[in-house]
Amino acid sequence: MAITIFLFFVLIVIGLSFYLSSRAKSASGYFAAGGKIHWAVNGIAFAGDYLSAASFLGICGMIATAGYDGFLYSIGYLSGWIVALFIVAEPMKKLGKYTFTDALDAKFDSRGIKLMAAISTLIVSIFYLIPQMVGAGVLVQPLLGIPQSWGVIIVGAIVITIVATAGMASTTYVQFIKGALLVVFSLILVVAVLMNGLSTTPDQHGTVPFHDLATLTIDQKDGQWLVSDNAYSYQESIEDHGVTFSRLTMDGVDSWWEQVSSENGEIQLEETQWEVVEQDGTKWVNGAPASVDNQIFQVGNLEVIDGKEGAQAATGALNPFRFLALLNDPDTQVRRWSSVNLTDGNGKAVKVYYSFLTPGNKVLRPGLKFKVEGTFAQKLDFASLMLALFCGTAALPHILIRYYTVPNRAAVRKSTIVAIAVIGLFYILTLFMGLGAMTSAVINPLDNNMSAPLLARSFSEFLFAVISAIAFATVLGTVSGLIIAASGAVAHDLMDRFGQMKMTEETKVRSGKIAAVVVGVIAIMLGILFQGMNVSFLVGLAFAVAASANLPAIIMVLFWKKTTARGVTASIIVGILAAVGLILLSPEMFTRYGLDPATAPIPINNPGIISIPLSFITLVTVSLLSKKVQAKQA
Amino acid sequence: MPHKQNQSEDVGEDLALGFRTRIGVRLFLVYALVYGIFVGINLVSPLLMETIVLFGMNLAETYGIGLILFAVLLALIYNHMCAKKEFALSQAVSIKEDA
Repeated sequence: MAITIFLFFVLIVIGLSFYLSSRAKSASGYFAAGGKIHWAVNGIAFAGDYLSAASFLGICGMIATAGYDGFLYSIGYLSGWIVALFIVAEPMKKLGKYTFTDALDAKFDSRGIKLMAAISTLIVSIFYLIPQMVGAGVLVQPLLGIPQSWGVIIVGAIVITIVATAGMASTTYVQFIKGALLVVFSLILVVAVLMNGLSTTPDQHGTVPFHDLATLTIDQKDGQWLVSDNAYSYQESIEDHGVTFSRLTMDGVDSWWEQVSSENGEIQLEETQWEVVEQDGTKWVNGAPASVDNQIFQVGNLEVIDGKEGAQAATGALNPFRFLALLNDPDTQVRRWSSVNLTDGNGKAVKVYYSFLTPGNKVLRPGLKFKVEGTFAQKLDFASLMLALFCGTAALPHILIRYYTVPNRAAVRKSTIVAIAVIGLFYILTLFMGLGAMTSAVINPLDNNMSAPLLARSFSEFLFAVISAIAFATVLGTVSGLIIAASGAVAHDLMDRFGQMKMTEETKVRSGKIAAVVVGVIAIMLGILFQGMNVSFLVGLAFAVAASANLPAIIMVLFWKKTTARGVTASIIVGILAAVGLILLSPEMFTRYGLDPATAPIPINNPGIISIPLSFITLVTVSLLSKKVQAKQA
Repeated sequence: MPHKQNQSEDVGEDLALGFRTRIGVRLFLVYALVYGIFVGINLVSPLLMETIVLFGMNLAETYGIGLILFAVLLALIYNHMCAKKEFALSQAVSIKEDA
């Protein structure tokens, strides 16, 4: 069923793109849908553009594993639209034609601005494309049962077809359909979560029995550790980051257990999950060879609800307020999971997934991921993230080009307001979807990105198929918008305006389509190359670069009369270099390089709090200096 | 005469540019302040976010959802004020043109 619904969606999308190809003959038709899109359609298409893989898959997954800290992304992403509506939207429409470079350069006619704004568009678009392609691969794997890299290639091929045929008109209608379906089906999923209520033994409506974790005790007698179940024998204990794991064997097969309490010398052990990959590539899961039937099982449940355990804890249907109230109760205990890489006494590497309990009041306030009670650097990191999310939206190229698809400034305003309402509703729903996944034993410990689709599967295969198809369309739509923005930067900004190639409308469209194919192929390659990287991390990178490189230039061009072309060019260069440079030197990247994160020269992961002000300061300083030079020369 | 009416509307839209910018900046500052307070509470007194404030929801949930709803509310207020001003200015232009 999933495959049928998926193919149905893809065929509709491709059919629509061929149907609308007649509108893409002129440059205006290709890059801006002729400026003829109705504001209500454009508003929902805005939502379609914005609600990317990071929003649907990433945020729900992060809420499912890190509680309220995931919802901070929803709040930050939505708040950014306020900057877009009140400060940027209408002036950008007035100044621009096809791309945001037009608007930045309208007062100056500077080749430096054209070059740097186009490069910035390309960099931000490509950074934003990578997580979408990675997300596509993750999604297609369980949906169609094909390797992740094939998922990336399929998305790339479909998107290149869409973009190379009909351009912005097709992309807009695909986004409109997808945006509307995403919100409607997310609403259906949330209603199902609330009707289902909460329970301490979620069994996916009888389809997957709830896995109760086994416990054992070990006790030391005459210098020997004895296990409460005689079938096991104790081998060793290893401590990592304050958690102790014990290796036991039964019939010569290893198993790993987490030490959860110790009383009078007796230690209680709790079941974990573990993976071992042999040198020849053979994979073992929980002591047996990995197979379709033997995988790391899905997790996430409540251990105690408002002080009640077992059958009497089940709540039945809940209203949204009661749902949240029960989950934030200090007497509610959430079982969350983490993982650790260990090396046993025989030198064998093992990855252990273990659980721990967190009280509800800690889950539903910031602190699990972002250490707001931590060091100064950790607090600064949190503030920096919230700043980048607030400033990034209004500087994303694929969002900015949508201001040119409607006929006038009133339509820009109205479509932005529709977008805020639709996106706002969706982001409130993410809180319920994420918490629903957190408590329904549907989280895949290996990859939390699939939490929302797997939550849908816990209700019905049909809902799973539709939600997965919509999520796939989400990736398709966002990638289409990004490739259009990138192709506009190449054909319109770089070739026509910076290169002064004096292109006709037809050659501009043809160049745009060729650029779309090239960018699409690059996106496919990067999507395969970056497999396994965290989707949200990469999107955060794109937001930080966009907010640092583009927003200071946009704001100052609109509101500071002393802004000069050199100032704008310098601020874009400094914004890009500072944001990318700080990220490359951050603790998160040091972990990825395999180095000790404590040795990273920059103690924060989110660069916005440094790179955004730096870009503003550069613009002001260079503008004032270049004004002085001009005055002297005069 | 729909064409004339459209022209007047466009003129009204242009004349209201200064008004829209002023209102836009003011509403932006209001929202930025409310957003800044949210970030500030989390940094200075994160435990305050656990306080139950509305229908059993804690301050973190109420403030977070409230920020999203507040954005929608401000957007609607902005649209209403701009549309009203644009209509008034386009009417004034129409009357002048007719005279």
